[in-house]
Amino acid sequence: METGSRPVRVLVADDAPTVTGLIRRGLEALDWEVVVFGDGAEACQAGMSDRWDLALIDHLMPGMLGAEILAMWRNEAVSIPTIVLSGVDDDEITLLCLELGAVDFIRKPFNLAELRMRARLHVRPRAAA
Amino acid sequence: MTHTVLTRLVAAAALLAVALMFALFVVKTVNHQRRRWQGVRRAHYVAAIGEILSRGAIPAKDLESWAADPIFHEVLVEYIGIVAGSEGETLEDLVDSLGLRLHMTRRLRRARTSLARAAAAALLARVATPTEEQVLIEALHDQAAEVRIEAARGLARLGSWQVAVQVLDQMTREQPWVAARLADRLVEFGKKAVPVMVEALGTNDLPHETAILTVRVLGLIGDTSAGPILAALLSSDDPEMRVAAASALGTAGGPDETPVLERALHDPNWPVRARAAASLGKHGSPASVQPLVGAITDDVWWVRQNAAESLAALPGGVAALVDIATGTDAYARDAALLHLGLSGSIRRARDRVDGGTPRPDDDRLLAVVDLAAELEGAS
Repeated sequence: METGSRPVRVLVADDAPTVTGLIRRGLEALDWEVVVFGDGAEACQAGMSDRWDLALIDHLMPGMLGAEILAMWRNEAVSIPTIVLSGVDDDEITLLCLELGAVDFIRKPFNLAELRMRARLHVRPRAAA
Repeated sequence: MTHTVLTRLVAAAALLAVALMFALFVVKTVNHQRRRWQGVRRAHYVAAIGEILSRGAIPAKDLESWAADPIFHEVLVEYIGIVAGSEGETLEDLVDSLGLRLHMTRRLRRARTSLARAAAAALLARVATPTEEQVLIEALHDQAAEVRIEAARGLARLGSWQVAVQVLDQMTREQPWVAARLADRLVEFGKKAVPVMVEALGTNDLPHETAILTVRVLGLIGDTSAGPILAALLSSDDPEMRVAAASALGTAGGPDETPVLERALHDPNWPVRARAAASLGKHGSPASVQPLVGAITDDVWWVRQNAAESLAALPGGVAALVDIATGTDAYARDAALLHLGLSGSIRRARDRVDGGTPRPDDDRLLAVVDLAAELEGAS
């Protein structure tokens, strides 16, 4: 899938190389461009300074929490469809992230095929725009 | 003569210093290279398992040589923690086909350093099947505390609740920090382990600290079959035990234990009264309103606060708090007003009044709050 003439650009932020490696492989198989960040603050900055079609961010990260990134993006009127990944089994965190503008919340452990499907769902409307 | 000896000594010392520095340099270089090589292997395994998962198939090539590498085990177990469904099954197949549990078992039994055994125990704890139960039971007696803790975690994951008594037994011989970590693992054993713990408490053979931890664990598990023994412990001569029992009864006590908790509101030890007041709020019995109204005039701040918080949670408790808020006891009044606010009772009453759907007591509640605010302003 492409947005116009360019491939879909995805920001992936997680401090675990196993997670980012897996997501990178899974999304690159769709011919998407995946850029990985291992630090929350760097991911937040990249989200504000570049153009992205989708963001997949972990909640518990060094630098900034996922919810903090969402809050910052909202304050700065950055509009990126964002899926939050987390191993934290806490409904309050889930609700907080959704309130802050996340389009989806995926708990770890996750299924890569399902993650890919959800990612496509959230990118599609933007691609059509 | 003396000068010559001194010169030789200085030369020998210098030589020794150079030799030591060289040895240090060699050790540091070797360690650096070893860590670098471990990092390379780790990155390689991360990529390889990622590739396996994205293809959904297990290639035979290379895998046999990886199977004995602890770093491969670490990466694989890390992946097991992040993927589910068909990908999780692919990794389980990988663990089976490479006999990784056997490798981990061997390492747990044979590794000389406690660090290596603890790492093996941590990995085995996450992938063990009933076949490895005995290995983990043996590891409960390992000389390294981390190994014992990880073994208990693995046994809890397997649901080997019969072993809970062995974990309890082990706790009796542990230092407090290890016993506390083992107690956390006991919680993971869940409700099936409750009878074993109840029986152990009933024998009165447990050392003091272990018995206290066991009572706390029963509270965390929250199974009401522990209620009778906890109620009995509320009559213990030991105040610390009574505090633990009063706390645990909040989640592990049923309606039969509510009267015992109400009596504990008169315990000579204030932490017991405070915990009993908090636990009564969790039982939800309207019959506890009157005993808690009595407790809100307690001399101790914590007891008053817990009693007010519990009243706010009980049916009929809000009306009682409104009565207290108009009473003459200033301390009780403060506690009542605070918890009418914290519990959201005031906000909800205001919303109902503003929405035109007030309940009979709402006007009175809001009048009391407004009066209190006026008095506060005037003072």
